Amino acid sequence: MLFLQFQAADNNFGISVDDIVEIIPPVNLKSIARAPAYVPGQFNYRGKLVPVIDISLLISGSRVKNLLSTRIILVKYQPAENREETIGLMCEQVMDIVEPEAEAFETPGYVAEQTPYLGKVIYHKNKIFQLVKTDDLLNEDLKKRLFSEKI
Amino acid sequence: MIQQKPVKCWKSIGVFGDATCPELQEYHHCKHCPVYFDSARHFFNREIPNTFIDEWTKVVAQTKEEGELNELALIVFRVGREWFGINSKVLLEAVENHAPHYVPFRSNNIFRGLVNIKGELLLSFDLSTLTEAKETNEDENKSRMLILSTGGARYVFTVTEISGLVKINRSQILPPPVTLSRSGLSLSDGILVNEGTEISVLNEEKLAEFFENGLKG
Repeated sequence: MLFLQFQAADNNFGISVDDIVEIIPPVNLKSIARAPAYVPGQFNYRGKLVPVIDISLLISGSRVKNLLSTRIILVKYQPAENREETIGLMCEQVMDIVEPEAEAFETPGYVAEQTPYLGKVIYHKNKIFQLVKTDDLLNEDLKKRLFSEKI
Repeated sequence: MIQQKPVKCWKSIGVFGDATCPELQEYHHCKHCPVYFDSARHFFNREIPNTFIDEWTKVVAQTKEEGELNELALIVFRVGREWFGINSKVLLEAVENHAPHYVPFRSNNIFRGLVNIKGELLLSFDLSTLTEAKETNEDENKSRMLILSTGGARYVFTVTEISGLVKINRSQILPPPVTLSRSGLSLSDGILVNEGTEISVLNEEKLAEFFENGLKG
């Protein structure tokens, strides 16, 4: 399985490439009033409004830095059954695609209640990184608010 | 971690320096070494210029242009009065006309005989039965032989004239009219209208089958 590697607050994370639609550089976002801080805004992605999640802020509490290595990863998201939406994940150091061995996957030692979207931990080339499950990124409340009229 | 400032070790102990780095035993060249690799990424640890962000905002707002994925290059030729096209991938060569050598009890109006192409004997066929068109008395100089290679076999056939290559999109090929069931059309994938000329696009597999049947008969 292939994973796209990125960083949030100097820790490595990975997303399965199966979910990825496109990776684009940062764009100007239109902020959403009263949305949580980790939803910095939305933008026009090929004629469609797509909300963006600041993964760094969500996971580690520090805002994503606007560097040349920062990217918005557009992933498929299903807010409800038979509904396919796209969300953008803003991450740092989006540089590598890794293909870890099947036996490299380990269950994380600790799963915080607030981070149901963090999955297995992988050892790969002296680096440890954790998988992010995109389906569980948004909590029920946020899901309803972002895709309200579509559910 | 790549946040640290890069040590330009490749200039001192690496291949651009005195090559004393012990890691070179394993990597042979600095370009395979992770230290070198990670250093390159410092380039990306810079603030993004705003113009860059503005530009990309515009780019991703556009719908993506659909690429011409369904391209097909046809070699277009004429047999009698009718124009045909075949995928240029299966075409090996176009050569001068050679008179086929008659094979007793084998040659017929589809399989004409053996032909010597650059010292190699190949099977030669005739498509004119397909078109049901009488051979018109035209300039013989335009007549050529095409060598096709499909399904591991090679076939040679005579054409009256070669027009050249046409690059098209597969969607331009129209289905043949249902009321027409001439043998020529049964070998074709459809009709292409190119510059006012109707070209029957031959299916190479069906054409090979047609030739093989000619061999048996």
